[in-house]
Amino acid sequence: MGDEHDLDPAVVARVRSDLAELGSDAASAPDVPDGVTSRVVAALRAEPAHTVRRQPLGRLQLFALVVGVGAVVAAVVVGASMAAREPAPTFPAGPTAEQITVARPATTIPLPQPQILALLSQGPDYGPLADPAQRNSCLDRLGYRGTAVLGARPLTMAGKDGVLMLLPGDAPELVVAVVVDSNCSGAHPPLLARTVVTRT
Amino acid sequence: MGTVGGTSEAPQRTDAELLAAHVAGERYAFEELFRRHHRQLYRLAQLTSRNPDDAADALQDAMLSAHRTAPAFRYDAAVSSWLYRIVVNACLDKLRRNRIRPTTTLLEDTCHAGDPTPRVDTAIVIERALMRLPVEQRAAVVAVDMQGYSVVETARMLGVAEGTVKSRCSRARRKLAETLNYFAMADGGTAPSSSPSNPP
Repeated sequence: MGDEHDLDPAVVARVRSDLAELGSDAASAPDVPDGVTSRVVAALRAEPAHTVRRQPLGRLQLFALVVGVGAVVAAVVVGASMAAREPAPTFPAGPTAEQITVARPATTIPLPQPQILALLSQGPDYGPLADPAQRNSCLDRLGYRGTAVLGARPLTMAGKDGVLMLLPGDAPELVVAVVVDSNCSGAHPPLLARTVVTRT
Repeated sequence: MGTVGGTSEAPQRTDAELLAAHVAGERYAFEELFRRHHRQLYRLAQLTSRNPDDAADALQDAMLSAHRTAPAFRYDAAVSSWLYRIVVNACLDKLRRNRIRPTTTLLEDTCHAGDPTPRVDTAIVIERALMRLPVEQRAAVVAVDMQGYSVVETARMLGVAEGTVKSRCSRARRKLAETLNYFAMADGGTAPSSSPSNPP
């Protein structure tokens, strides 16, 4: 039995391409025997549901929590030392640890990189940020005043409505992908996620 | 099919939203996610298992694993891709652990691919051709060409040498090309008759 090295490369390429397509062609998948589905569903229902207490902190969330707690501790130390030197001053309400931890944007965007890069060749869909003035104000807050948007689409992230926008990176082959809150108002930090992808 | 709760007018949640809801403790969110993808998941399980019983076992194991480890998912890929990968991992692991079992026999010719005429669903034709392969070759080519695993990863999961994976993939691709009449099409000739060639 020969191997593929003596095969027409075009034939090998076609076989591999058809297999890859089958791997993502869910619409053509056949029906599942009822017994299989019901068996899996029964097993899933027997599992305990996740609770907020049981959710383990991701590495990023843990780091952000440490930073937040450290900031609170530092504020307490500074405040105590100042109080020791002068009559009790009045401090404005500072950020809580929770506000500090949630302000740090995620670095993973719930969209495969090929789909992110595909936006570069499509017309931008700004969704809730269709208004140029609002969009430019949002970009200004992010530090991208006057930067051309290379691609965009609405995206839901962790249950929040947002907009994914692609911006030029520090090098020609780099693209910055940011997900901003759909309001992008001044009341909340607008940045939900930020990552850098490399053009292929 | 498969939706639990809600009304028919309610907008369908994305995979990422369902997974986030599951992690947040929503009782039937993961089940809804499974039902949405269970046909493709079972297809992958069948393609990488010795028999339907093994496929059902692996599918259940995989879904329970996904149910439990969902909080660790970082949304760095599509949720569906993550589920597909977990199923294929479970099947390859089962094959590795059961390597001493005799190789399964090929399907009888009643399932042969025949000529892929325009009326025949290409996906079904390819799937049937795959199911004619010995499970070891089928699992290797599904892992590498359909799911995009590297040869190194596939070898590790199957517990075999990298060269073994390469040769299995090569043989599988050759047999698929023969069964699907790709050689005749590459030559620009008409497809041969539907009677299958001698099985290898």
